[in-house]
Amino acid sequence: MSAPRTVRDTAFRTLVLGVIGIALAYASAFFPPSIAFIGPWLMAIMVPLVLFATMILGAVRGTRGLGRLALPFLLVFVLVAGGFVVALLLPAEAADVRLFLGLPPRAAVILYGVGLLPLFMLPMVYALTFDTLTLTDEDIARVRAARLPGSVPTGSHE
Amino acid sequence: MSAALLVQAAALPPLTQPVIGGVAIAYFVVVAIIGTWAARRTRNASDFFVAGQGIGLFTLAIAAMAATLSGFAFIGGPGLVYTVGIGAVFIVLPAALTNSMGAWVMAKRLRLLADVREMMTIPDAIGARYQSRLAQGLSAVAIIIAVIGYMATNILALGLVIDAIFAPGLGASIWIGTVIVLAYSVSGGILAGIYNDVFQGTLMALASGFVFWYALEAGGGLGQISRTLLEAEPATLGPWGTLTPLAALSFYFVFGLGSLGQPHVVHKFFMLRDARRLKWFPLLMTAALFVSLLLFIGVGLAMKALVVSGATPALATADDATPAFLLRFTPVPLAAVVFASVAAAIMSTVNSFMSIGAAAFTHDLPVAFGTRMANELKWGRIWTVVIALVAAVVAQASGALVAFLGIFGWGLFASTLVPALAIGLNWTGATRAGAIASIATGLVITLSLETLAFLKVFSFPSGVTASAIALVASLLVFFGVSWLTRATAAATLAPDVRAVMEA
Repeated sequence: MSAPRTVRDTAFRTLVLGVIGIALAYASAFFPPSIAFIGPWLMAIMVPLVLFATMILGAVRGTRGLGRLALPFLLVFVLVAGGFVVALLLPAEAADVRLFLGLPPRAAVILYGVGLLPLFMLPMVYALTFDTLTLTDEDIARVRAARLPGSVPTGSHE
Repeated sequence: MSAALLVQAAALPPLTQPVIGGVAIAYFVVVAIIGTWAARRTRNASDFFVAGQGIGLFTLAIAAMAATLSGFAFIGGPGLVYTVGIGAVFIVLPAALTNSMGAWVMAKRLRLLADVREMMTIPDAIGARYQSRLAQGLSAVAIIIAVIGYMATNILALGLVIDAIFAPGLGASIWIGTVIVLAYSVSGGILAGIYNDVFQGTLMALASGFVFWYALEAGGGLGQISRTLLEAEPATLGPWGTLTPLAALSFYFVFGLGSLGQPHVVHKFFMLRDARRLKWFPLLMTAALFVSLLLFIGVGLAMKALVVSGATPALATADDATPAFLLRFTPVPLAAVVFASVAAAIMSTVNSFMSIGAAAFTHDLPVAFGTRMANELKWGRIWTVVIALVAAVVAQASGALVAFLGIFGWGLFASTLVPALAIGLNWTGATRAGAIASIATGLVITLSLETLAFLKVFSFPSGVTASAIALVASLLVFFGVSWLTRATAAATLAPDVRAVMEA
């Protein structure tokens, strides 16, 4: 099996693993606190894992790997999953805690780290890599060439 | 935390002021003009259901944003932030990922599918992916059930807004709202809806940006808002607000992955004129969504700080957060534009639901039974009227019933469409049996668990919801059944669909 297939296979297996992890996290909530405490930790890792595995499944091409997408994907995954873990780890703040850009540390981690920092990162990466890694005129021509005889594409009615 | 919190079913405070009424009327006139223009351009079913595949990037991005946000983003959302603090933000937090994820996972595949097949609906895509009329029909059934519930909820919300502005009574307001949306949806179909979405989405973004600025100003800046809340109600500014971590992270999961299965949004990818224009879609959509959601976060936190500091009287209900803030802290014309924006947000969502619901009846169910309607444009218009009337009648029923119907809309879409559509278009190992089993699982689990929970037969531990369980279960069934029937995977894929998936 070629390397790009391995990326796709790995992404798919990660997706399945992540969904099983999320199922276990929900299941833990039905148990006493000594077991239920594991639920949020599982969710903090598995939910970003599922979202990124799905994204990789969509981004990886048939004959290529992730290429230049790998680093930004990894960076944003670390931001999101790391943000959740840090929020779980940090203690509750006192009323006179130092604020970060107007928010207490744990809320700042969530709003700025998980929400704001990645907000425009992936859209920019998508735009900057679109012509080479996502869709070319040749890709469109190849797809149109695969059109079945007699099929009517959308919007071609009069 | 229940999804019922996402349903707008409580009355708003009276807004009967000449400026607010005048802006609302001006807004409805613009909607009517766009509807009339679109009606003249609607000549066939393709125009009616997929805008003749002739829309551009800006139109797609703003229309997708407007369809994504319902009135909840302006009324219920800030109310939820007011109640549970930062925890409510986990509903919108996935937007940092979902627009790009949607572009990579869904946009390209759906748009290319429309290049090789006639794609009018999301069930069309499922039918083509698995060469299965049953899968197409089942997904259409799921869409119809969710659409009726969602529409009833949104039409009730629209009635509440109209009643607060013009005070004709809730019953009459529901019918007025229904007739207005119906008028442009029946005449101009999704074409009218799309261009109204652009107008409505622009209005929503502008209003949200301005109100956010006023919220920071009224609260003395974000730092002062935080200081006030840390002294009076510190839990509000915890990373999960007053929710449990599991509940907040569950929001992130359901609203993150679930975004890939919202047919009224992803269906718009069929409509883009040129697939190569998708390049800037995530950036434009993210920017529009970001500005439109500022109000969601800003007003909820600012109003909480203003109330706990005694700067403004306590609210009767959490949903009063936005109306009370607007009436007390912003100029009346801006408040008027925001209330028009609330109506706009609801109407754009209702129109999108009308379109996909009518398409399910007109196109998908007949196709599932191996036939096609002779005149899909005519029947599309008839079904649009029928669906709207049914939803309006349901909206007149008790608030509890409407709330119940609205609760499972998002979850039903997510659990029935994410595995078969979003994963299935990106995984060649998916099989027809896997898709059918997962759609059926999503339908059965969502409906049965939501019904039992509504009847109070049982309650879930904090953080566990029927929507989340249904989504996880339908994914696991999809993987499991596809693996068990993996020998049939290759035969499930038509060559043109395989080309789309490999592009």
